[in-house]
Amino acid sequence: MIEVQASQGPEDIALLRPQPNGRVEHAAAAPSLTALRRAAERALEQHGLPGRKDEAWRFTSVRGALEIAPSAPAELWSLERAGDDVRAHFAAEAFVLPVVDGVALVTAVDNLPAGVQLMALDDAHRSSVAPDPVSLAPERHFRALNTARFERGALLRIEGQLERPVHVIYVSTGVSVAHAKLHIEVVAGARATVIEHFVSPRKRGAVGQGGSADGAANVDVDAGPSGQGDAPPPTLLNAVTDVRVGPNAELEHVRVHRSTQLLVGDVATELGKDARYHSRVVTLGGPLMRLSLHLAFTGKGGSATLEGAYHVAGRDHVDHHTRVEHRASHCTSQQDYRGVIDGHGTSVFDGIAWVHQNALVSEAHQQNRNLLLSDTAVAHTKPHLEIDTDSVVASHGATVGSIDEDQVFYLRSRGMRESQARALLTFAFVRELLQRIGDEGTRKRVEEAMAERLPDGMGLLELFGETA
Amino acid sequence: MLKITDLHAEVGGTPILKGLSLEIPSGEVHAIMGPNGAGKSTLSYVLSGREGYEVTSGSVTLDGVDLLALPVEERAAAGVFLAFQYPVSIPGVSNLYFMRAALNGVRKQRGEEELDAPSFMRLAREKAKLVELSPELLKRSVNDGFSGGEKKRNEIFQMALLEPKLAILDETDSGLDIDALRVVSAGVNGLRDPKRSMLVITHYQRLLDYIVPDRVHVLVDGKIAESGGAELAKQLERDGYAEHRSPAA
Repeated sequence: MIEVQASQGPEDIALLRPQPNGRVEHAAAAPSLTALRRAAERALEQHGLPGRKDEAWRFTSVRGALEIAPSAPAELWSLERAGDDVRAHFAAEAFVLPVVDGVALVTAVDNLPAGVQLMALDDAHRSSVAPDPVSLAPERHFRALNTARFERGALLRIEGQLERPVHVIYVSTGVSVAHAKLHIEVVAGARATVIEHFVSPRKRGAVGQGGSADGAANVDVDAGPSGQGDAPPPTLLNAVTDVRVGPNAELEHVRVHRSTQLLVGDVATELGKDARYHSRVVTLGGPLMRLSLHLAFTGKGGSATLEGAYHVAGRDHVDHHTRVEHRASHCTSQQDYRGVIDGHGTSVFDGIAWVHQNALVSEAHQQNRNLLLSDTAVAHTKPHLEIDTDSVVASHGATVGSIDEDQVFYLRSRGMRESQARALLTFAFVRELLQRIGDEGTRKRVEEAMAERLPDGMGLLELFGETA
Repeated sequence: MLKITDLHAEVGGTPILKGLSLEIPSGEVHAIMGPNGAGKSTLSYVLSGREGYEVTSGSVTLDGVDLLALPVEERAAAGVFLAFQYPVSIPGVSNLYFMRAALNGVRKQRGEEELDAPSFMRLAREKAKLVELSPELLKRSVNDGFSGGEKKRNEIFQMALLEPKLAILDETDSGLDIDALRVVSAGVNGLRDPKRSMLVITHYQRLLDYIVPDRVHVLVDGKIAESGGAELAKQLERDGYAEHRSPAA
């Protein structure tokens, strides 16, 4: 048995080995980007990767991820073909950026709405719109690894009032390790919806050979435990998204995690004066799904809602970490995470709202509720507040419970089958959050996917008046 | 017709019903009154099949169907309806969608055709009028944020939709002011039917001024201690249950 140290050094960690035939070092990178990569390499050498003794990773083992050695990258043409598939599948949804094996296929994107700029990060670094690094999340651990190793990131810059959402679809051709990097910048006064959608990899080489690249076709909802049967060897996607919402701008940022990959996600968001940000996370299982959401109000009058709905079954392990920093006055944050845990699934929620000393008249609320459907399901929950000022309205709470038998009896006494009653109550528990997703197509897709995962969940949508 | 014969039931090992026998012919309304702890609510739960209420002997049939052999939802399909003393709120589940699913569940079990959305809506609006339930409340989550009166009216609305053979009203008057009591009672009276038996469980005679029963039974210590006409309720209101408390009386 490998004892994972507090911080793993580079020695003997498969994940830290260089990628065979990797393309990153061949790129004639922009000097500012090269400097960031070098700094990240140094941070990686210094801090390594997290282990169980790191407080933030206490309940989540990344041992499985550390044991994955990078494989040779797929040919660019096959990435592009996979990208074409993704675009074709999501064509109805207007604007799609495929990210294949972590490579953002920015050049192939057409029909860009007015007010949207999309470019490779490397090009952005050479131009006048180079993104300022969002500095609130330290360049450490997986984030440092991402910066050091990502191949082609993207800058998405939104200037207007976008009527239709931007879809970023992450897929994989089966490469063992991928690093994706996305900067989202919503400039002053602009408004947009960005949906990041993580779907399962297909068997190596299958993407790009016709057929659909949609998660619905690929996610085997019954394949709960990873490593069961003839499951493919685990692959890792390490995705970093930096978000800057400018003064008086508004962003709805949806993330849908429905991948059988190991997924380590890191989102850092800075909000300017009077900015509004709505984070809506939907996590549908995953052998390892870790999301760190780090948000800071840097100008006064901002508001943020951080919502997450999750369903964890089999031996899935899902971990949501949130950190909201009130660094300016008159800001409001609301966190509401709700999940259903079944089978041998484990959920971790660790959320903090930190109100700095100068953040007068702040409001910070957080709540985490868990519904356990089996005796072997586990929920770790730790919402907490750190308050360094007096003028604040704050609350936090957590619950872990099972289905209310009084409700089950009530529904059954009206003629509803017991299994249907339980599915209905379970679905209703998380559906409220799904319903807040503004984009109708995405909302329906995740409602369907959520319902399908529930025991006897078929027909639930019809019951709620939503025809599938 | 509901027929209960020598029913014994216990909760957590404690005997509550101790040989209760009762017949309610179709078309009749019977009231059960009795002091606290006599077993009134237990009877309603035993009839509807709630878990944790264990029948140790006796039988219950509704039009010849052995109710005790059926799980809760199949009893509902067989025609049992319980109007709860404390209706449960179910946030996130719309009243209308729930009732459509329930009604179609029951219709399916009875071998009847399911109702499509427009037909159901017509039916729901019609039944809602019976208890003056606003269309807005129909759309809200089941009993979520409803007042006491709205919850009870919602129960009678559900009963009107499901058209049971046996309606059990468990302390339907509790928590109702006089106006709400009038509306709810009018709703119940409107549902009196030659094919329907009703069992009205209440603590106070007040409700029986509005829903006038054909028979009144006094339940004491798990058994029917006395039966009579509607006038028995008035007598109990005047004299209390004292004479029934002591076995010697």
